[in-house]
Amino acid sequence: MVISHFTALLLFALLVSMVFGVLSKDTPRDRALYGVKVFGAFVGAALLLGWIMFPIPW
Amino acid sequence: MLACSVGRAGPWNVSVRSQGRGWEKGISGFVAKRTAEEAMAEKSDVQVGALARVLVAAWLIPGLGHFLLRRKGRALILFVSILSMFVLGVLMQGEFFALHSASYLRTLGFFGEMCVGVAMPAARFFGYAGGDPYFVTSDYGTAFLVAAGMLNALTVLDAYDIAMGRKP
Repeated sequence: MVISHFTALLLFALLVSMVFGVLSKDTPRDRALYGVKVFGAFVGAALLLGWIMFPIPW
Repeated sequence: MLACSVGRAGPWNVSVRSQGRGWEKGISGFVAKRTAEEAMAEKSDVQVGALARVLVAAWLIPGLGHFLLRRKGRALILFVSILSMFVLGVLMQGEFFALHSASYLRTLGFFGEMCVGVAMPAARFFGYAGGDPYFVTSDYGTAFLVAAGMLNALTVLDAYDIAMGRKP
């Protein structure tokens, strides 16, 4: 299966955030909210780090 | 009539008083306490056995520990997400590490992948011996495989907390 780096990142973030949400909170609503937050943090951090590394020539 | 635990060794430091039925009450109280203690020890042995079964089940199949603890919704989500991560890793030609590797990190990677349970031996059984390391997405696949194992390790710890009553 050939997928782009960004697609792999999205899939990884989705699956990890699902597990983190289930394991970390006590109510279904809290789990869903936390999962969304973790997913957003994963993707946001990846985009931020990508742009920070963009000017680096190597 | 006194209740006695026949055949069991223990510190039977009983002071016998020759005052009518007083010594009988002392002995029967002592024996009753010993019987209750032995019952509690047997009950804790059973609980340790049940806990061990839950933890082993949680390791072997992601989510099974939660299912045995009657948290079926969580069990389903954990099962689907962790196994999906493993299957995606296999589809991306991720590498299976070996126990005896030249590098300690690769041996650590083996233990990480083994944390996912029977999925890795099952994949080997059905013919997947580890993907092509030169395939374009092989590195992503390897990351997915190890991450699936690590997530299952967290799942086992969560099952332990639920079994011990620390979490709902």
